Amino acid sequence: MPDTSIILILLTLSPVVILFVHTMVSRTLLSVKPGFSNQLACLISVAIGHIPMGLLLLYFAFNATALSNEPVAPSVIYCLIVYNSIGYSYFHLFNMSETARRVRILYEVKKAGRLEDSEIQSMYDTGDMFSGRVERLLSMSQIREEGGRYLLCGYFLYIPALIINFWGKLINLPLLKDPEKKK
Amino acid sequence: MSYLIILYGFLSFFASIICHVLVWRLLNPRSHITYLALIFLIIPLASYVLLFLYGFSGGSILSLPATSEILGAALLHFALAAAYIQTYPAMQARCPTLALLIAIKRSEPTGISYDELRRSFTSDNPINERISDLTNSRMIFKTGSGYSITARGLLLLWPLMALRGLLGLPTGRG
Repeated sequence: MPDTSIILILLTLSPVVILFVHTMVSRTLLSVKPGFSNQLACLISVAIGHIPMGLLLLYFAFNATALSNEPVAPSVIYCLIVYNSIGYSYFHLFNMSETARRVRILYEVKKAGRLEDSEIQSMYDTGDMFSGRVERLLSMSQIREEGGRYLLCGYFLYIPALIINFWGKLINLPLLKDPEKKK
Repeated sequence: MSYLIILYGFLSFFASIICHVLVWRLLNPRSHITYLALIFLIIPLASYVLLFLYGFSGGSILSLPATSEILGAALLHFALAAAYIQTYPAMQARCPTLALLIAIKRSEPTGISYDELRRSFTSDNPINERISDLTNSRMIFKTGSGYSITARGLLLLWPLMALRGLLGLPTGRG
């Protein structure tokens, strides 16, 4: 049977594998294709990470001897769930460093040593934040522009947006801002 | 490895989810991070340690084999919990990117102009909310009319800066 202990050790080390692949992908793209979406590069890295992780698991845990006695399906399903959950967490961690206002405020306060409230406010032009987000959605092919109007063209982020909106209601948090109702 | 490991991993995760929903609806805690850590990490960790010790001593609970199988269920729980905790700030902070997508989808089939989107985006002050979040979670503290970073804030910031340095990326545009 596949060795559970080895599977667990390898899966626990999977963030290191993802980080290694991401570093390679990110640095390659920076020199080959500057301007490529950083988030997309991260997602691609997590997807590519299936290959080295799969090979490691195949070599160390799912070898021929191991496969002789017991069905392998539960182990494969388990590995896929755990690896992709870790990959998803990694993506969010990276995304936090990329887009989170809290992280940027922390960075600016640390850099300056001390910042006045008005100085923090002046760092942000909400229009600039807005255009940055629209640019990112365009570069990730989640929205498209047609005749000066934006339309949805990808569901990769929209479906999570709907789920998060629904879940936010369930746990009694303030709902996602509904731009249409604010008009 | 059996399907039971997957079953128990998911069961413990859903138990945490149910506690989370109940606590948020009934108590509406102020320090979200503390309660999330307690519900999804600390209590499950304590439970799994007890299960592990019980299994290690030769016992078996609910047909779950001992030691490595218990660790397997625990790893699945913590992988799912980490994924959930990482998603949580998007709900708490009313993630503008997700709100934009919902607004754009609702505007179909005609679509929505840049100005219309921008108007909805600038109708409140998200910076005050973020400063308040950082102060409540003791990442920054008030000094006179300004703010300085705390050790906890540095603890969050350093790994993220190191990550971006490793990837060769400049500071994020959040």
